[in-house]
Amino acid sequence: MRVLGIESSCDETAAAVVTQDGVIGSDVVRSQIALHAPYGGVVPELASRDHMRAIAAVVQEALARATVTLPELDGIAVTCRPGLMGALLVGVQFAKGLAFATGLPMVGVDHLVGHLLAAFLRAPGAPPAPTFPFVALLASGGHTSIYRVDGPLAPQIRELGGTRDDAAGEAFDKVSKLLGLGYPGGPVIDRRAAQGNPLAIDVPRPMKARASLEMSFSGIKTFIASHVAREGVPTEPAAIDDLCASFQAAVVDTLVRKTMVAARGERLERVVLAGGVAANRGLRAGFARACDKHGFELVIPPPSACTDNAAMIAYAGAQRLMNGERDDLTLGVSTMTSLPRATRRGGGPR
Amino acid sequence: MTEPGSLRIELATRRETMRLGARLASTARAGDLLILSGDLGAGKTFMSRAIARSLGVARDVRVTSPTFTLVHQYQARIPLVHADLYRVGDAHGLIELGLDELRAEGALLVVEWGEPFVAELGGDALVVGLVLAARGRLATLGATGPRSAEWLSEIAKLQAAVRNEGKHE
Repeated sequence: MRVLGIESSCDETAAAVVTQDGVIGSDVVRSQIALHAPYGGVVPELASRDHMRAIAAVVQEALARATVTLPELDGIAVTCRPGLMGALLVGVQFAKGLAFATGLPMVGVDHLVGHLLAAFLRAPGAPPAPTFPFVALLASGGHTSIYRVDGPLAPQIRELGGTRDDAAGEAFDKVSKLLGLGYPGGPVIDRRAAQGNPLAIDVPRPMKARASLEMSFSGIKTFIASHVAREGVPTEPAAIDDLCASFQAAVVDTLVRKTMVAARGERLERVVLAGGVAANRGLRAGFARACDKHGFELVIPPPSACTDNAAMIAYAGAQRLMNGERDDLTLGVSTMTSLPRATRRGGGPR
Repeated sequence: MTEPGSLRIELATRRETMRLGARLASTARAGDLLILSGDLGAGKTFMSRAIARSLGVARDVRVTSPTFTLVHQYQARIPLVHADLYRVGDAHGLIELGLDELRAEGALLVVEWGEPFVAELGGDALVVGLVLAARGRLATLGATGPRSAEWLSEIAKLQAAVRNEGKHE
C-alpha cells in the first residue's frame, strides 16, 4: 500500500509517499523558518498564506520523487489536528480536493500520533522498525508528553504524563531569546551547551522528587530570566556556553528522569524518542546513558524524522487505512489533539 | 496607555498570585479583555492558570502555555480564551486567530503579550503588568476604558476590604 501524506499544521509544508511498512518513497519538507525568523516565531497569517502558495508544488514534487502518479496511490493521509487553524485548513482542503477528484480513500491523522510513529520510517532495504509496546517521549515546541504506545492507532496510545506549563522546545526558544541567540533556540543552545560546563550554574529541576509524571519547564525558564535580570547577559562567550549547558542539563535531566520513571512504572523496556527536541544531541546522549544503565532498548529516529514531516503522517494514515478506516469529505480540523490527556496527579495550584 | 489611577499589588507568594487571580475571575464579565504583560518568567501563564481555576476550569484540565499553539479555549463560568501573542509580529497575524470575534461572542479574553494589540482586540482592557520583585512579583493594574475602569475599581474595593480585615486580626 502506498499512501500520500500531507502536513501543514505549523511552519512546514510537507508531502511524502510511504508504504504501510514505513518504507519512504519520497519525503519533501519546505520550511518557513527563514520567513518567520525576523518575527522570532511562527506568524499564523504568514504561515497559512505560505502553505497555500507552496502546497501544490510540494505534493507534485513528492509524487515525482517517488515516481508514482495519483491513480497509483492507495490512499491520502492528512494532518487534521492539532495545529494552527488556518494552516491545517490548507492541507486538509487540498487533500479533500485530491480525494474528491481521484476517488481515493482519505484519512485525517493526529499530528502527535504521526510523531509517535516516526521511529517506524525507514529507507528502502533498511531493517524493520521497533516493535510495540513502548514508552515514547514526545518533545517539541508545542508539546511535551510521555506516552504508552501499544499499537499504531490512536486508541492504542495513552498519555502517561506531560508538562503542566511550557513545552520543552518552547523553553529552548525563550531562553535563546533571553540570551540573544535567535530563533529557533534548540540547535544553537545545543551547540553552545556542548562547549560549556553543565555544572557552572545550579539550575533547579522542578518536580524532581515527585513520582508523578508531571513535568514543568516554566520554572527553569524563570530561573534563567532572573539570573539574566540580576547579572545581565554574559559578555564572555564562554559564560554563555556555561549558561546554555546548565540550562540544557536541567531540561534533559527532567525529560530523562520522568521517561525512565514511566518505563519502569509500565514495566516496558523499550524507549522511543519523538518530536523536534529529540534532535538535540545533549538529549540523545542523556537518554543513551540512562537506557544503558537501565538495560532499556532506545530508539531515536534520525533528526529529519523527528522534526515536522509528512512521511510520519503518511505512515500513520496507512495504519488507519489498513485497519479499514476512512474519513469522508466532511473531515474537520481542530487545534487540540485527539489523544486524551493523563489524569493529573499530585497537588499544587494547578 | 493606561489612565491614571493604577493599582499596585505585591505578590510575595504564589498563594497571593492565586488570590489576585481569583479576584480577577470573580469580577470578570462575559466579553471582558484582560492583558497580561511582563518579561519572560514574570508569571503570566501562572496567573492565567489561577484565573482559569477560579472561573471553574476543572483541575484535571491542564492549563498550559499557549506560546506555540497561540490560543487555548476552556469551558468555565464564562467561556475562557487564553491566548499568547508573543510570536505574533504585527496586527495582520491577529486576523486569523479571530480573538475579537470570540470576545464579541461573550468569551473572557486573557491575552499574554497583548499590550501592543489592545485596539485590535476591541479595546477597553484591564492591563495587569507583572514584574519580578526582590520577594515574589509586583502587579500593576491599569484600565484603558470605561468597563475596565469599573472592573479595576471592583478589584480595588476587594483589596481594600482585605486590608481592613487584616488590621482587625
